[in-house]
Amino acid sequence: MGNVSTNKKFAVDVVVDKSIQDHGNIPAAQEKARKAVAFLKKHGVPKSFAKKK
Amino acid sequence: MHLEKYTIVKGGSDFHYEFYSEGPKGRIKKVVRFVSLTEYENDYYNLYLGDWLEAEDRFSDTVISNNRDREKILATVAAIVVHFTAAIPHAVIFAEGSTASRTRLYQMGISANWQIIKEYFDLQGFKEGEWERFQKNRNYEAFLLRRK
Repeated sequence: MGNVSTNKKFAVDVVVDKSIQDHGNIPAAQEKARKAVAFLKKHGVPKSFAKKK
Repeated sequence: MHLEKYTIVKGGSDFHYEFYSEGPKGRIKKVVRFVSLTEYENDYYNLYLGDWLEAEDRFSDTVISNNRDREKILATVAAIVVHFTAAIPHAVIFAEGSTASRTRLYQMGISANWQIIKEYFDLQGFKEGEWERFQKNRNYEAFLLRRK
């Protein structure tokens, strides 16, 4: 295990361990991302989230 | 954010987090992965929560583990979102469950942490074809979240 990264405002501790296997691209996660893109392209985002052009 | 949580481990990247669910079904490795949605727009990420299936050597977000620790898992995922958005403050996170029941699970997690979420995050829910500011006790199809 490595360093502990702490977010004090929210009391979130995360152990940083660069030796963990991150499994590269996770096919199921990539598929979810493709669906998310399709969803956002179809429905857009709230006006408050839209970037000013 | 002071609900009981699992120990969170992240690797070298800001996008991959892991923790272990512990309960009557044993010790189950969970992963939270933020996948960039650059095909839509920079700064957008999809939240993926999956179980590691050792026998099949793959992750799945459709398996039902029934490890009787739902609240603790949801509090852990909420903490991961907090940590991720601290590292990438401009991130906009999209979340939609793999099934309607899993999306409701996300909603329960949000509701349980609502007091702190509403103070620091702009959270929108998608319902009946429109985005609206998140309200407790409304069932949404998807969520968008970013730091205020």
